[in-house]
Amino acid sequence: MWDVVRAVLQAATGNAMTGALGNPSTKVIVLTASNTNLTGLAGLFHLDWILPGYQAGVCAPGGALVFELRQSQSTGEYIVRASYVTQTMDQLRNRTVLTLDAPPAIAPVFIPGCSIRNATFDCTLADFVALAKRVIDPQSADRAN
Amino acid sequence: MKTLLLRSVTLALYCAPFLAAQPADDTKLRQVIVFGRHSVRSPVAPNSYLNGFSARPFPVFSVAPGILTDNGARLETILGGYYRLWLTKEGLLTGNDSADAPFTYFRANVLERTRATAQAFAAGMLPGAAVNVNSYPAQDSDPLFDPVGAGVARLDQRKAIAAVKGRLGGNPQSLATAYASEFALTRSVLLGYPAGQTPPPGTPAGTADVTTIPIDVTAGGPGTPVHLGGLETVLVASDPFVMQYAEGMPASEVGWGQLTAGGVSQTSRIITLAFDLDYRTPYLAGVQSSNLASHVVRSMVQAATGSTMTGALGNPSAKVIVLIASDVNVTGLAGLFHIDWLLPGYQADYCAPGGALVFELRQSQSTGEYIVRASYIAQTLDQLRNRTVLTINTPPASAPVFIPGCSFRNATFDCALADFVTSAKRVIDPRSADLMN
Repeated sequence: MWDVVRAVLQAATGNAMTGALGNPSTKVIVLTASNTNLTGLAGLFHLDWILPGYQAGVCAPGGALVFELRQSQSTGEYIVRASYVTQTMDQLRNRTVLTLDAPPAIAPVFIPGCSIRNATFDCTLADFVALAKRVIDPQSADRAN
Repeated sequence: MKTLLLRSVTLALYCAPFLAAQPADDTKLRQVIVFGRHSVRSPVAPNSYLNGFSARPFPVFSVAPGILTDNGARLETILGGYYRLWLTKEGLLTGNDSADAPFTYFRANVLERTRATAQAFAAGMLPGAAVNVNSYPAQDSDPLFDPVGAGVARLDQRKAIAAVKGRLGGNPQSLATAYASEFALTRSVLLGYPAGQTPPPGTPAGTADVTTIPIDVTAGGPGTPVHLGGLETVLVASDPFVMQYAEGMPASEVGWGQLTAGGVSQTSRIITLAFDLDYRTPYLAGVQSSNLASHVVRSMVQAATGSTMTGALGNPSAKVIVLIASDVNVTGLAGLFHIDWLLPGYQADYCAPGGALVFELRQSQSTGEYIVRASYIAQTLDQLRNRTVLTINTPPASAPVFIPGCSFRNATFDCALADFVTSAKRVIDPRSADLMN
């Protein structure tokens, strides 16, 4: 998980950081693994979701936890916004073309210990880092790519 | 599959010598904290309300709504009798009740059913002594069990709604599909047709179909951090089933003859779901259960050090601390520590009538070190229904509980007291706890 947090930090600070993915100007980081990996990361942060037609916490084919690093245009502050995005069972079965008007299913995700109470459950980058430090076991993480 | 099999075999080879090499348990029980739910009660909602959700009138209990039944009291005394045997065997009780009583501390939430349960438990555990059950006046909020009502903790309602909605993709109605089987079973029982009948019949005139009420997360009220719309109504309508079975009502009156023990258990998945959202959601567990957790931990430290500590229950020589409240309180404390259990016949994390989280404070006889050992102990549904007498050889169901961030890998998931204190500090929200009793 440090890789993800450090990649987000690297992008916010613009400085190369050990244990981060890509370089400081990387805008889109795509990590593809298996449902067990997603479940583990969500479990570490106590993240839950449910989407129409699925059971709670199901990792659908192609489904992803999405972390957005956003910056306030007025204050310059960085915030993290999390969601779980996946095609519905029928979008998968019907190979439905996805557009902004016909999007996949999206679950905004509240990050316990970090998210504030707005509709998108935003969490400041500083709070996200503090939270990550609380849940990450340093003996189970390294700083290499 | 082949790899998996190979791994299992390898694991077994590695584990066998390890298990054999485990040292014998050289710990002695010094204190036990029993945090339990009241025993069997009548439905909390009056039949005049419940009957609006069913094709047939709900069976009538012998006591007013929400009151501990005579059987409930009897069952709790049976359970207390088991603890008497167990704690005597452990050397914590002596068999001389009036000598043991001063080393106990009983505390019950303000409700009749919790106070009566504590008294019935005491009658089983210390039959020869008069035990005082501490409780706040009925109109007050006990800061241990209702810290928000008591003004010790403050709940930000908008944040509570966000924290719950943010576990549900912002769309709580998705739960109706995810729990379609439980909803269908509950509907068939309430409206009186065979489960699985297709198409399901319509709703009789004058009856409300609880399974179609929209599910939403909205601001809560006293004792309920958030309202869950229709999910709450399904919970209220299906809550009586467990009690009908446990009370020992004739089979024809358990879900009008449509529910076996397995069916009763399946309908309770709605209850554990609603409680998970209302009491295990991390923000809500922090607000609602930090004060209780703080008192539990401080009581253990007080017993281990022998020195009076603020915010502890009883005095430093208290050996048995019994706290009786409701399923929501037990769920909340478990949620705060991320503690889970599963007992035969019950759903995961279900709080059975009389069931309790049990924290043992034990001391190593060789090193003097204090350890905490947790378990969840409850009568099975059939032990309740049959009023089974419990003994050391016929015990209630017991689930050893691993305390995340603290327990180590022995069979009883022991956790050093010092680590338990550290774990507690990590999960307790200091703004939601005080140091008073």
